Amino acid sequence: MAVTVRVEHFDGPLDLLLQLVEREELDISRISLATVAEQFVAHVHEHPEIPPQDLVDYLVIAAKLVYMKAKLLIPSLVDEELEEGPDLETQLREYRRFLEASRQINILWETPQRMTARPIPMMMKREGFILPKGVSIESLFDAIRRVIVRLEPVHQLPKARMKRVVTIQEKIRDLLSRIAKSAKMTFREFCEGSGSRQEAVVSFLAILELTKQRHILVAQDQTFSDIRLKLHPDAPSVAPVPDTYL
Amino acid sequence: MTLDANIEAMLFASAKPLARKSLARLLEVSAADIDQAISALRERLDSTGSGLTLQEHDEQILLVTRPESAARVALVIKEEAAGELTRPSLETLTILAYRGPLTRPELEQIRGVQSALILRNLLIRGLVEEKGVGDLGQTLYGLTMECLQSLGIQKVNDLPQYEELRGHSAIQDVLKDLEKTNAE
Repeated sequence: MAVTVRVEHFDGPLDLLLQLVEREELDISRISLATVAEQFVAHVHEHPEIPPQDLVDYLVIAAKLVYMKAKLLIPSLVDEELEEGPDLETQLREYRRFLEASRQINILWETPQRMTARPIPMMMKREGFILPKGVSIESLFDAIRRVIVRLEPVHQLPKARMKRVVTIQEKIRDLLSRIAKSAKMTFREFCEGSGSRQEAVVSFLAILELTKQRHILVAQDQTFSDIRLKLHPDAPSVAPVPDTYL
Repeated sequence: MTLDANIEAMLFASAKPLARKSLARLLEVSAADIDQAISALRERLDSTGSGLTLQEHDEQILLVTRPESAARVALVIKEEAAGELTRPSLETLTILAYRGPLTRPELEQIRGVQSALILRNLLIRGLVEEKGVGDLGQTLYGLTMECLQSLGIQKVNDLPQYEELRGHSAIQDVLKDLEKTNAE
């Protein structure tokens, strides 16, 4: 069956499915879902811009659709795993109800009728630093001299220097700023000028972290080939959250 | 002074949400007395043309300005513009408003798409917050009071078709309330 309906914009698999059913002017039922199953799969094929990490959600729905269609043809077919959870019909109906409700919420959101609570009052404090009584410049000077004397170690330890290794935070900042400038780059380019093997490892960890936090997208054509990096289209506007890579 | 007037004064002075439970403890009265006094206070504020009203979310009570006075309040209090909501944000907020608190998998079951990123954005914007831990040790998420204030609603029950969309959870709510009443 040829794809007769075009859906230009959709947010997620259920949205796509709902639009397909509605454009066909069908109610949500097992029959109507089976009818649009092929269109659904075709749409996913034709929209390579669906982020790879979201594709799995589309595949889950596609699998449910194909299963549903197969079941209409062979009623005896039962797959335990695909029977789990609410059926697609129920899920889609529920999704539609919330989609409709979200339009109401948007009206509320856009109506400039917000409520205001009292700001939590700050404790009144005197600003600035006030010297305690009896403290003078001389006494402060004496005090700091005593502290310095106490800090001096009894035996001078032999001096050695730690080799400086780049931190992952630095690499993340570096990669983000470079990728923001050139939009695309490869892992090899990113590692150019790395002083050591450790630095290359840190660079790689930075890429993993940024991928996890969805700042960048990575692709590799074949095993051991260069890794292509580009900015995630929906990258969060905030800087990567530091505590997750401590 | 009546209990409801005292509660009004406490809510005004504290400027932050107070739980029904802590009001009962502080005022050394029963939970039923608190419930009754809060109803009386709400009734008084809403029927006598006060510029204030009560907001309630997750058993927390807060004294807020009435939504109709927003334009006048804005003359004296600078509020940062809340900004638009994207469709995924709107969808997520709607589901959490009617069904919350929910865990991330529960939310994703309804949306049909992974929602970690969108939840994090809403957390950063202060519209969603963690509401404790669910049965399987997963974090529960729900709307913040600030979010309700931006929507201009006193409580989530005031949302259009609330009972209908809350669905099975509404039954659970009733059961929970019954349990609570029995326990007292």
